[in-house]
Amino acid sequence: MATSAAQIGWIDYVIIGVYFVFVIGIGYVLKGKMKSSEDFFLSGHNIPSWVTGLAFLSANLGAIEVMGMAANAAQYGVMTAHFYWIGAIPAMVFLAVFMMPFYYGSKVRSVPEYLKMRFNEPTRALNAISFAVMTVLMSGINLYAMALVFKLLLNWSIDASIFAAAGVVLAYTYMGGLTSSIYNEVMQFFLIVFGLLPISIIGLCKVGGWVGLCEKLKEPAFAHLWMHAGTSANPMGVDWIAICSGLGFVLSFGYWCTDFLVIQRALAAESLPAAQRTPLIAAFPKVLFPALTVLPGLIALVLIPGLGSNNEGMRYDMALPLLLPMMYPSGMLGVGLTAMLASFMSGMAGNVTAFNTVWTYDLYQSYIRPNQSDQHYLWMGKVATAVGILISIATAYIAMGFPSIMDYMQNIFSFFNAPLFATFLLGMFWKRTTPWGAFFGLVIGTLTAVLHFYVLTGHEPFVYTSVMAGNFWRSTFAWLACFISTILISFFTKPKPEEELEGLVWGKPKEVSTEVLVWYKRPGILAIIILVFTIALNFLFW
Amino acid sequence: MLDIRIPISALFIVVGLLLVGYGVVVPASVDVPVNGTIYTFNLNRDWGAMILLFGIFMGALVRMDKPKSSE
Repeated sequence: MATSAAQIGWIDYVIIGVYFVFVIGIGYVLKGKMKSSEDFFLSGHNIPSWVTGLAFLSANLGAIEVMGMAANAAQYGVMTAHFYWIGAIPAMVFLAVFMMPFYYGSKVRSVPEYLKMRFNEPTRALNAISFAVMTVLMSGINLYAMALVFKLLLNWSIDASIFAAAGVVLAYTYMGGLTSSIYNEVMQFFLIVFGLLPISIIGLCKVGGWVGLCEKLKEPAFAHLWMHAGTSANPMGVDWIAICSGLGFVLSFGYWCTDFLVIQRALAAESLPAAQRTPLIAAFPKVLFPALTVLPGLIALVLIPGLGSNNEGMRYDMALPLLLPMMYPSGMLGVGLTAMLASFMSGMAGNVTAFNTVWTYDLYQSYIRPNQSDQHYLWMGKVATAVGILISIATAYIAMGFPSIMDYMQNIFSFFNAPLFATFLLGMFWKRTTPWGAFFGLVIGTLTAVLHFYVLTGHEPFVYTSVMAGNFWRSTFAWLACFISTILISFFTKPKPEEELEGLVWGKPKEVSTEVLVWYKRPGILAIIILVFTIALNFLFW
Repeated sequence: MLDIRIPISALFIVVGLLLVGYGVVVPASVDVPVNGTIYTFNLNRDWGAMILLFGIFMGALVRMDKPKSSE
């Protein structure tokens, strides 16, 4: 049931066109403000925290979040909310309270640069290369997902969709750099809320409210978060141990606390307290986002017969896109499509701006052309933006070859982010961690994930009831391998002198903020409020 | 630096006006059942008005904050 393209009218095209004019217009207005490389890559450390907070959230609101979480909800039920309430909020709070003082306080321009200052050049190079590869793969996934949706819903050509979206993203990121990307991410956040909220409201009414929805779900376990997590006999195929260790600890902290894509938004903030507030401001809408992603997935499962079948147009990934023409008349359909388009383009732009920063600062400036003028690096950043988008077009075609976008993504995270979190945890909180301990620990952790995925999975005792369970356990093993090997190697290698660790390690602060803040601006108070609210939601949907 | 609330306000006002106008000229009703009663909405007009109000609200915030932003 690929929906008919006839439902889209001229008004929908006009709304999509208006959006394009605005995003390119923002890039054009900001073009004149990009005087230095710091303006282009870090927004001159000049953005208010509510803007960086919403950008922090929206940089993650790409194809996976919007389409993938609705698809997961249709496939696994309410347990998908674990990706928010245990798989995001605690890590965002930890980043804000404990890790941001090191990132922002050390004045690093990127996550790999922190690894250089804390450890050594090889550790930075390893992380910079793996991160650069990851960002262009992710950027390609966003392009491909968008093209797939528009082909199935509107009969647009996949090639034309990919090139048109890539052209628009190139235009605004080339002109306005990170600021342009951040501004469009904030605009996208509001577009997603206004474009998708009526689907949840109307859909919930159509299925008879929450009680009616729970009664219509094919399995009772689909309506509960923890009740059936005592064993792996639940729709997701994972027990509470795998949820807490794999998702709640390793994957979640690995992504939110070390991925430069999101941390770059906080580094653009105007002060340390503003940088600390960034993930916390993002956490407040994040905790409610299941209403826009998980809920429509459940509604789609009830209202769309045959969802999840082998037909390309009926894949779980299509749960949310299929609801758009079902719920919206022409007009609102344009707003809904614009929201999805914005989310994909923003997801892509976020990755491209992270790629151009890491490429320019951590690879080009460090190893290829050091000691050049600031204008030269600004020029290289713009070249890297264009090249990153061209590579993303190529990786979009690679993504087409994988049967499931979500599985592909989680594999990437378990290889790179899971071991990296062990490196950061030890690096920031144990000053005895040595540069070579970190480097070889990271290599061993990544190789453990590769070995687990390509060799061990499918053989006893590494047999899993779902792909997701395999992802969670692989992340746990990769993290453990990195954590243990880093500690062991650190005992036999030379640590950095303590004076070189100032501002980089717990207990060696460089500067302490003496600014007195009103209660609603204090990171600690905001953290407690959001944690209490998250715990309450876990009980509510138990 | 450009105040982000300005383009947000402008975009939502334009989209809101388009939706309200289209909803009035070409009414399309959406039936929503609530507790056994069917309520009919002109979704484009009604939700378009919400979008328009949000755009105006963002613009009002910019105006109220003008002395601070122009520093």
